[in-house]
Amino acid sequence: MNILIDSSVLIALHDSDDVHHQRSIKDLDRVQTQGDEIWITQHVLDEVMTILAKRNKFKQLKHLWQIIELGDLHIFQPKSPQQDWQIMSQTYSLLTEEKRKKASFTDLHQVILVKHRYLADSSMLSYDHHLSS
Amino acid sequence: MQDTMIKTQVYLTESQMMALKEVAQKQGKHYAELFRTALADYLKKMKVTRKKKVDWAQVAREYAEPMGGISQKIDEELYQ
Repeated sequence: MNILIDSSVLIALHDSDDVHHQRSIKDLDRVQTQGDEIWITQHVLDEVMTILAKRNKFKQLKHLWQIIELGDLHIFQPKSPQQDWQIMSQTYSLLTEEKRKKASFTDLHQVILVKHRYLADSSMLSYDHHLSS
Repeated sequence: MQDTMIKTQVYLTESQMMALKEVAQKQGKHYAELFRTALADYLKKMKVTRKKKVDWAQVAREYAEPMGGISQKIDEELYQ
């Protein structure tokens, strides 16, 4: 199975103060133990790298990049520019729905990837309350 | 299930290329096939010799630092 994680999981892992810090360790460990693959989107990568850089956490940033390079954290890539556009359009439609207006484009992009199976056999792991509703 | 082929470009030294073509000719194969076989062997070996993928608890021990609890405030972190 493919588990799409969002910024909240990776940030909680790197933030020892975070209310979800221990939970993130357990969740990631469980996902890996089950033999599932861990995925992020480029939007999530952007968010996490930006936050770590803003916080001057370059040691953490470099290590996270190393995990990606080793292939233990996959970055979702659309199969074609056409598919990319389709995903973006569907995300836009969802964003403009009234009930979803508090969720970010990045959040909803992940919802679309899982819901429409652009990432096959997948589910989401998130601590973001916008995504749990 | 067979993987989809993707086109890529790799720089080899002249001697590597010559050796690869020579072996490929002897085996009656295309050098690209030989290259893929060699790479597959290498990746298989890497997988066997690699330890547990990521020890997330160790990542947390080594890299987690107090940041004030920001997983629920991602947008504020990014845009303020």
